[in-house]
Amino acid sequence: MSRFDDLLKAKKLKPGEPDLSPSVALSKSKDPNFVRTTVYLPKLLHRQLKSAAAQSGLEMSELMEKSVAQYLQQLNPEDNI
Amino acid sequence: MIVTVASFKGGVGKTTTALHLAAYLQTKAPALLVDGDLNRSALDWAARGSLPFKVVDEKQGVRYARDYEHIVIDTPARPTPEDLKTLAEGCDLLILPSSPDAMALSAMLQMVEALYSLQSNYRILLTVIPPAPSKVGAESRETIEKAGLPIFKSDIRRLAVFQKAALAGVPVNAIKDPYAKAAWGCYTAVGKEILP
Repeated sequence: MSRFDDLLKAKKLKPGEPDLSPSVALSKSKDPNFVRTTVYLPKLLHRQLKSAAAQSGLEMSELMEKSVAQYLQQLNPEDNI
Repeated sequence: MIVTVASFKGGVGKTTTALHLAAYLQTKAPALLVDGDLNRSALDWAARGSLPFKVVDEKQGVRYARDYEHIVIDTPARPTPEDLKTLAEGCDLLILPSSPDAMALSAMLQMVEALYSLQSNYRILLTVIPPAPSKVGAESRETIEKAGLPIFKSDIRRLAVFQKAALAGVPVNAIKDPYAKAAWGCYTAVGKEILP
């Protein structure tokens, strides 16, 4: 892994081509496709979410994403989320 | 075309070479100089004056690389083995500048050794060649040629106008000096060997 990897990869792109996917996946905090938000959860639910994340090896963010998407889907089945 | 300038030793004209080759290539097609040296000497040079091409660091370079036909990469002295491997294999031409003194030449030979196991197209450039009656330039060339190593036909002379240009933040051809033409001529000759 060198400082120059991305540079040499980028030179291979044609002008106007979209950015290459970075060689290391961006963390959500740096990925422009994600926003950070604050919600209030009851303590118990938060604890359950945390333990579910730990047990499944997923991030709390991912579980939240899934469940909110699911909820919105059933609310408006015709919307594509 | 991607050209990388690298050496294990500092002070052999790495940045000067990178900068003037970028200036030469710019006369052919848009050229980008990537300052990969953590001293950021090329960026400093650019900041003091104005250069006829864009200078960026290796991180910004990712964004600009695709828009330029030619990229010249200046590297830190003592590049890490990873950097050397990436650059040696990823560029079209690797230039190893060396002044004609024992220490620089031995550092250059170490680099040649390090490149031995890598797939790379490299060429040695003799720099900081003192004027006659000194013969060290010709002697060094003879030694390198005898060893069968690839070397540029043209040398870079030791001229004070290069320092003047660095101070003014421009390439030598933008300096008013009796030797400016000779200095620029050194690099256009090298440039023509790379891209006629």
